[in-house]
Amino acid sequence: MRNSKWLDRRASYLFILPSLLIIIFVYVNPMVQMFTYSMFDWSYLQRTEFVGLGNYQQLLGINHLYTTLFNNLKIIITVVPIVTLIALLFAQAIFFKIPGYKIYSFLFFLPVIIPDIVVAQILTSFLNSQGPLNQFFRAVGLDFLAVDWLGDSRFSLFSIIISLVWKNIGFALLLFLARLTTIERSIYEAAEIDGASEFQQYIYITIPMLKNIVKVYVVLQIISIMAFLFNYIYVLTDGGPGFSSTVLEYFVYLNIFKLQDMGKGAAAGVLLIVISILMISYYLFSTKRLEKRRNR
Amino acid sequence: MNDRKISPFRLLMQIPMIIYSITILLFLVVILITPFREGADIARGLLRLPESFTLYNFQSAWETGLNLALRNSLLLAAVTCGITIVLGGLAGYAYSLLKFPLRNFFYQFSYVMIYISIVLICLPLFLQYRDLRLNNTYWGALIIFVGIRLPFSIFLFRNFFDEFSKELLEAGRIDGLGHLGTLLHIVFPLSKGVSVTVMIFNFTAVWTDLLVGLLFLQKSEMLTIMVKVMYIFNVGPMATKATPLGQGFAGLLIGTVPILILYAFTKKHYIEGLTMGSIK
Repeated sequence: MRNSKWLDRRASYLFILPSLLIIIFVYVNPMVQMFTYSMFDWSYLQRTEFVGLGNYQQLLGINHLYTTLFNNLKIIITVVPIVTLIALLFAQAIFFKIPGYKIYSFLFFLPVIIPDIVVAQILTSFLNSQGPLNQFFRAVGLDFLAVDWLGDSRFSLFSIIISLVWKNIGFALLLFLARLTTIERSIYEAAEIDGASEFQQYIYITIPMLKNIVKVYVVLQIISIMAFLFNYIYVLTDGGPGFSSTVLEYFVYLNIFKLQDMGKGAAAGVLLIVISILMISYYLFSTKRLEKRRNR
Repeated sequence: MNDRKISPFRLLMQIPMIIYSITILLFLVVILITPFREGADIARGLLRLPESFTLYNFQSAWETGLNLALRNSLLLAAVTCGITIVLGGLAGYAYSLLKFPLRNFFYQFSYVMIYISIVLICLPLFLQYRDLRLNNTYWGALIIFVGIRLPFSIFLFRNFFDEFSKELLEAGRIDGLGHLGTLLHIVFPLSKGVSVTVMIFNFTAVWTDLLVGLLFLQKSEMLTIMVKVMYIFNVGPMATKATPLGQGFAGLLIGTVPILILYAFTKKHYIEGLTMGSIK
């Protein structure tokens, strides 16, 4: 018995070791490096002298940092609720099999799988100041709407938000629909016989059933918005004009590669690492609590 | 529940759903038709009715190196899939079905990495690679792709093995199969589905990658597909100003088609992975 346990352990470590080593090399090592980089002064991607927390002090004094953090917040408080709400309504409609639901569920899946860079590039052409969208606005006499969507600092972030909403609806929809299909249709039938209206069915059956998956979706979406916007911003606006559409993640990239300011870039990177790990820990903690409650 | 019923909700929902559908259709039309139009025709407007038909865009995109980019991306994506399925499968199996000290710690440690921005890891790696002379090597890029994809692969495999029949594994033990024997004869044959799921996600991720290719494969014959297409479109440092728009759209179409084909055949697996990825 003891022998087999030992074998178990040996096999386990053998199985996890290769991936563990690669993950340490590709994730942990650079994150630790980022931390050391943030303690030094840099010139042209070469380390010069140790400055301790000096970079952090400087970073906190840069106004653009707050612009980018505020942009993160703006994206989160617009994209997440809008996408969630639209996806919930669409999922319910498709679940009710409204006319055309098969076409809808096919079409709405497409933005999910079309590569984000392709989406961003095509939208760049659409939103161009001479592009189809503005041609349309001018043709129908809405000239005041024909603005420079990507090149004007008042609208650039808005354009990124629109792209994210457009791309992300399908993902949330699939998720909610998958959960909905696990609900017994007979529950709805029984409710209908009891005289519950469609609205009441929605409030008393659908929402309670979807509560957990919506919670999970919202948290994961917020975490993703902090960490996976690089492609969109790189293609659509390059963070500009100025820093008007830069988020923290892109701020790290811009500082290091465009502004050649490794020290401050790394300090911003460490800030993002801390934010990300805190959010994921919260997520892990809360799902564990959910599981416990379910098991009880 | 009466599916034929007409209610205000069902009628009202048609409006936003039709609007969203129209935007998607417009998008598709632009992706599918623009590459076959001549440059001057495209310049008249993306949504104007086409007045020309040409295959020249594909030919010239091909000749400027899109063929090499396709080969590079295809190879990198395929090899990444192979390695992550083997290593991720082994680790997922251990994290789910074997018992050992610090199991949860190691698992959560790798799980957390799923949500770390690759911008954060690519920049320090870029400097390390410069010192190690790994920049502009396929092996160097491959390690990064594998590393980036492993956490999610392990996660999917572990979830799959959590549902795996324990009786079947016991039976294997009783029949005298060791760890390796159980893996080869019982686990592998039953893991085809989840392997396909992992393959779809990882293939797509490598195929649509921009940052890793941008930083680690900069030689013109080493560019990956998305980087190449972005260069054609004048986005990024190596852009040349004179490129015709048509070539870029040809690149976009060529970059999108393999993904569409992949999903056409594996939609079920994709949705399984997606719901598994979020519900658990």
